[in-house]
Amino acid sequence: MANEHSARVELLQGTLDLIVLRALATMGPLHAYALASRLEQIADHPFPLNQGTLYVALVRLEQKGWIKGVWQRSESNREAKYYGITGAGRRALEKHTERWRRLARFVDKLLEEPL
Amino acid sequence: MSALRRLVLRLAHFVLPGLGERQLDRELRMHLSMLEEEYQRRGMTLEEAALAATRALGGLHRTKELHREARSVVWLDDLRRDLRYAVRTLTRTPGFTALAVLTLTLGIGSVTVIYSVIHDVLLDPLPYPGSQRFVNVQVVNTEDGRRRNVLPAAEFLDFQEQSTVFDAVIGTRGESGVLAIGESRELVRVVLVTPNFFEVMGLPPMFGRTPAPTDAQPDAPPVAVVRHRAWVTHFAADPSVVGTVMLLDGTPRTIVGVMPPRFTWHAADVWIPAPIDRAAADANTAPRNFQARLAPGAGMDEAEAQLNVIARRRAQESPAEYPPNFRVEVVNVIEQVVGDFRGVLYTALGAVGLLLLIACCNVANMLLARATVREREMTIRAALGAGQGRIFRQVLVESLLLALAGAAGGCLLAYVGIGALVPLLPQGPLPGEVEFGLDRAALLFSLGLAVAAALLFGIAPALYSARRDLVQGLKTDGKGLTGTSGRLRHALVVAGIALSLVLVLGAGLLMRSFLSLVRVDLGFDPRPVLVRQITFPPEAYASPAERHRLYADALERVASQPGVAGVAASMGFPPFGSGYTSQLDIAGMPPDPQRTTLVQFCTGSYFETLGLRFLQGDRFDDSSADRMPRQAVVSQTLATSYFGARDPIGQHITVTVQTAGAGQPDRSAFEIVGVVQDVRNRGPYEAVVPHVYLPGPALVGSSTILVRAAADPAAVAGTLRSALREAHPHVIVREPGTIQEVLDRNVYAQPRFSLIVIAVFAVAATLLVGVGVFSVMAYAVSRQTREIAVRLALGASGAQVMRGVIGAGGRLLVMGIGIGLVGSLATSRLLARQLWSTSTYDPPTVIAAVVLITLTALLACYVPARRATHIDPMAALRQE
Repeated sequence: MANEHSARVELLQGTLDLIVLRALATMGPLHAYALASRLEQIADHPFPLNQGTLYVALVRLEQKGWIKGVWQRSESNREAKYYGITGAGRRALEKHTERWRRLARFVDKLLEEPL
Repeated sequence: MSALRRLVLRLAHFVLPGLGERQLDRELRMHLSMLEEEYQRRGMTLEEAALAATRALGGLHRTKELHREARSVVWLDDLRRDLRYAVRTLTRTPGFTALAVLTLTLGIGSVTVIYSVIHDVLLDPLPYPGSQRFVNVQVVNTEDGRRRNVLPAAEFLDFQEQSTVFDAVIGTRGESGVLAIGESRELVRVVLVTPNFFEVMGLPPMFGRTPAPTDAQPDAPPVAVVRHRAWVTHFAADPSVVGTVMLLDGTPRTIVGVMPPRFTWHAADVWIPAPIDRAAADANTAPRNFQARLAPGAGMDEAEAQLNVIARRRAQESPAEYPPNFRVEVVNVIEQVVGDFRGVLYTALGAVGLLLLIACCNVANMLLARATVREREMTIRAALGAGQGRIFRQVLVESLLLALAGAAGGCLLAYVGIGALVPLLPQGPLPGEVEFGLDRAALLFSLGLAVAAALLFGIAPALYSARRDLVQGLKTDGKGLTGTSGRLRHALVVAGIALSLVLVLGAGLLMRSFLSLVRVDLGFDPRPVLVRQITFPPEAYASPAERHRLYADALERVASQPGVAGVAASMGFPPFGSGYTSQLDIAGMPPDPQRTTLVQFCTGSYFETLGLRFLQGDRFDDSSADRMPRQAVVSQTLATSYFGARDPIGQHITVTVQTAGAGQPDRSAFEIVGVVQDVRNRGPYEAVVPHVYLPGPALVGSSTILVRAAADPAAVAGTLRSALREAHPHVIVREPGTIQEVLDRNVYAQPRFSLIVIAVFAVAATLLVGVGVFSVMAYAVSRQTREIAVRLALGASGAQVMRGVIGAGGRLLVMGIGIGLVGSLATSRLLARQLWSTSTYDPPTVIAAVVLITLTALLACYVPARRATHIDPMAALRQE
């Protein structure tokens, strides 16, 4: 069970960072729970990994300086840590989006061509 | 950039672990409560919602763990935890920890001492930059092996200019000079150097400056640079001596600089710049040593090849300069200077390595014993989820901690040890530049050694603790005498006994060898005979006859001193070579070039001063040197070798007489008037060769005076200098001491050093082995308390119990001695080069070593054995 989970996490580590950055860039600052539910809403199927792994991605991005976490009061008057994208994060988002698009195009092409 | 930021933050989280944990807690709590609310809104009950929330999060614990791994550096975290646990465990058993650390201190510290000396003497003795690449160049006659290490100017410059392998070349030449300070005259060693010398050696002077190129020009005022030790001895360490003028060999020279203490190239007291000039050189210009530094990347083979090509070309142009078969050799300077000492030091390193191994065996044994006691604790930890790797790492960290503590103590021990060892080192083979101390290389070595030792003794206990058998581990009460643990510990004790036997045997052999060395019969007693080398300065006499008178006068004055039982003058003194070899012709027998003898000039009083016995005839008259027939005394060996049964007295012999300043040597005839007993004349250990003594006006330059003290040589020594000064106030006196002292310094010092070092290690090893045997036996007895109690209750006597315990120890002892003897066969061969007249299988020494180890082991068994007999059966049985 644990292996299945970690396998899935490994696969999506880089892309999860990208997704989080994109989400924060378009939706503005969010706390972790809000981010998780929004991502679930957007995805057609239930989100393919457990919500705990979000925290791993968040701490990674925060340590890299691409997002910044600030403690604020939420709508329901709870203390929550809101994560927002930084300037460096936007630049990284651009770069990594481009990289991902190129990779996706390449893989698509390979899959189309009769080899 | 972002990666770097991440790394820094991860380290920050490692250093301050609580930082991220608290925040994550708050976040997760909020996340969970919001999830619960959501699920409740969807219609779940409170409990269902809570469960679903946790599942959606993916497990609280797991999330926290993943987060921690991402935000901090996990293995450092674990290491910190292991360290804290190890410290706690070790401080809980202070006795155990202290013993282990002391054992390791002894082992690691001793090795560090020897390594430090090896580093300071063999690996990096010279302070000059690039000193590893310094070489000497010699021309070797391949037929007879004779070497010429000085090159005349033309050859020197050809080698220098036509070779490409050197990045610096210096020409040096060492001579004796007379330094005049006030009324006293001192003999100093003067070294001529090419003007680039100080720049090449690369060390700045302590005071003043080094000679500039202008100082070396022929019409420049003469300058000199003084060695630190000479500055202290002759100039009272006065810095203002720089710029003053000193009188060297009658020439006034300005002292321009004083070099730092470690600058002692060529063992000089004074360096004088003197360029090599091809044009100005003639037959009288003294040749120089060719010393050079290899360019980086150039090898000695390449240098030799180049120089040989140049030399062969010169040999073709002027064949008279070279022997018919010759080779140019390039030798590394450090190798040449300290190479002989290598054997001694590496033997010491081997011995101390054995000591460290024994220490590691002991500590491994202790750790294994403790591991079996902690088996229950380890099993519980494993059952609670600690991985095998985790436990293994944790035990290894304990070992590392012990080793590091041992290294710290070892460095302290090394500091003291180096201070104690250095005075014992033989001074002769060591260059003046050597400086001893606990430097960075030694400290780093000590650290590395600690890590290696930790792995060595820590692996077995770590493997033992980490292996799986949970059920067995909980069931057992840690007997640990059977199975792998017990066998391994017995093997360690056996190994320790074997290794210590090798060491003790080595020490014993060295002792036998040393005793044989010092007990060699020299033919005379060296203790009461003082030697002095006296030189009269050239201005003291105008002719050889006057010089002869001066010496005679000096001898008379010395003879009249109180406490003097005899005085003589000679070319040298036994047992060292004191003469030259000449062909011996006997009147009435055909000449035979193989018939050679050692020729020595001395005064007639020589024989009684040394206490030599005449077998036939008597000494010669000193006055017979000037009248015919000249008299001679021969040695016993010469008489028996060349005259056989015939009586040599009255026979006539002819030898070559070399008198310096008299031009060519010529052959002279002598009449034998006495046969004197043999003394060693080619060194203390070489066979005696035939020897003829001639009366000598031919005392040349400086002479050796031998003084026999009636009682205490020290009392006589004090009065000699003033007595000699009465003969001439400017006489120069060199004082090696008594012949015994000379032997001690030059001949006995090195074997004595080896002996002391290895003996110390052997004693330490024996003690360690005693401790090891004791601890194993004590542990065994404590673990077998119940069995012993049962036996006592069933009627066994105390003696029987004791025999049982000692028997167990005895079995290990026998095995250890057996293995040790076999091991000694191998190591003795390595030691053989340092032994003299002692077989490596010398039976008394072997027996003594075995007895020593046996007694130690039996003594170590005795205490636990006695304790076993005092076990109260009732109390012991009740305890379980």
